[in-house]
Amino acid sequence: MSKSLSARWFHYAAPQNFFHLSAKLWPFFATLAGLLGVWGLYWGLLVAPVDAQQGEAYRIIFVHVPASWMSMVIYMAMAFWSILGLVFNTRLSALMTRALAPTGAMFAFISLWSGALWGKPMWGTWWVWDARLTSELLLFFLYLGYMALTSAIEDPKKGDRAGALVAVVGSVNVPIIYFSVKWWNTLHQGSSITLGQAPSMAKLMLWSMLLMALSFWAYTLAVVFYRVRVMILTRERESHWLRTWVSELSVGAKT
Amino acid sequence: MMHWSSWSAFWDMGGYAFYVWASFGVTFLLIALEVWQARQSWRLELRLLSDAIQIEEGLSKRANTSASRATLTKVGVSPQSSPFLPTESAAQTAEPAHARESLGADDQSRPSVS
Repeated sequence: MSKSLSARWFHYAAPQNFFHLSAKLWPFFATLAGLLGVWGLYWGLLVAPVDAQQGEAYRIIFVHVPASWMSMVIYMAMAFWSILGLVFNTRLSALMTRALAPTGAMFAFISLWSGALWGKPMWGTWWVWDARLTSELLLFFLYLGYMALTSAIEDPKKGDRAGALVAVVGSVNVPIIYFSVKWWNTLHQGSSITLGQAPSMAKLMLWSMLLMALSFWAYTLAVVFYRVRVMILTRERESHWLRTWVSELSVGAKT
Repeated sequence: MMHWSSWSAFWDMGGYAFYVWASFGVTFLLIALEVWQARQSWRLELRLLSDAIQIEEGLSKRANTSASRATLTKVGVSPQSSPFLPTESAAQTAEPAHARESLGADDQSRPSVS
């Protein structure tokens, strides 16, 4: 069984197979993201009770925490694909890394933006140079650096490799962000959820946050699969299979 | 069970309206932008590729004129490496050796076709 599973993995590592697979996957994850998002927003904004300490301003948590999680998860995913790409030299892994970067940058920005909007009424300041905030800002710059570097190198293969190095080296920053509230005395509050511990939140608040996080996960998968298809369109433009697919598509569109 | 007593109370967010709505607003604005951008790039790349294929197919039917070759180069398609174009037979145009070499180097820089 494990053999057939690994054979399948390599099957989908070929751009041609992944192109057709992702065509089916992205609408599924997009729908899922929409449903979970509506559910999470409904609970989070309309049903969940007010927070005793922070008033209604705490509701920022429903975008802030999921976006921050995704910004870290996406960078780790980029590092994972980069290692895979460097070791096995699979063509798909670099496409995955490239496709993940803009969404990761977006979530890092949302994390900083919503954090500033939360910090102002609660701490009295938009920004402090504490460990958590600074390392998240560094993560945002790592995303921008990755995108600038890979788009500046004209040869796609060289760009892939340079980008992979940035992704792998930069991933050291992610655990620093995650543990910063434990390692240093920060203005930023501690984790809302710690593995192996009962969360310090009301159940409905917690579920709203988890629904939003799942929605962001599904959204990320949808947009990444979609973007990989766009990249296959350019990278495989000389491939016979792709040209046949495009020709059939335009014939189908006309009739 | 609804938390709010009225819609105006909901929009007011206990006095934190600006902070809450600016957070949610920018989040969904950025997501909408990203979706729009992805959709645009898909349409653009698909059109570029299908245009290039149509030009090549038209070319392979008609004579392989130098003018239409120039058009191909403009849209970024190498007529030599296309599987849809008849390869120039050696009898028709005997290319000098150095031209063939540069052609081979060009092929290597392209993504491999498998």
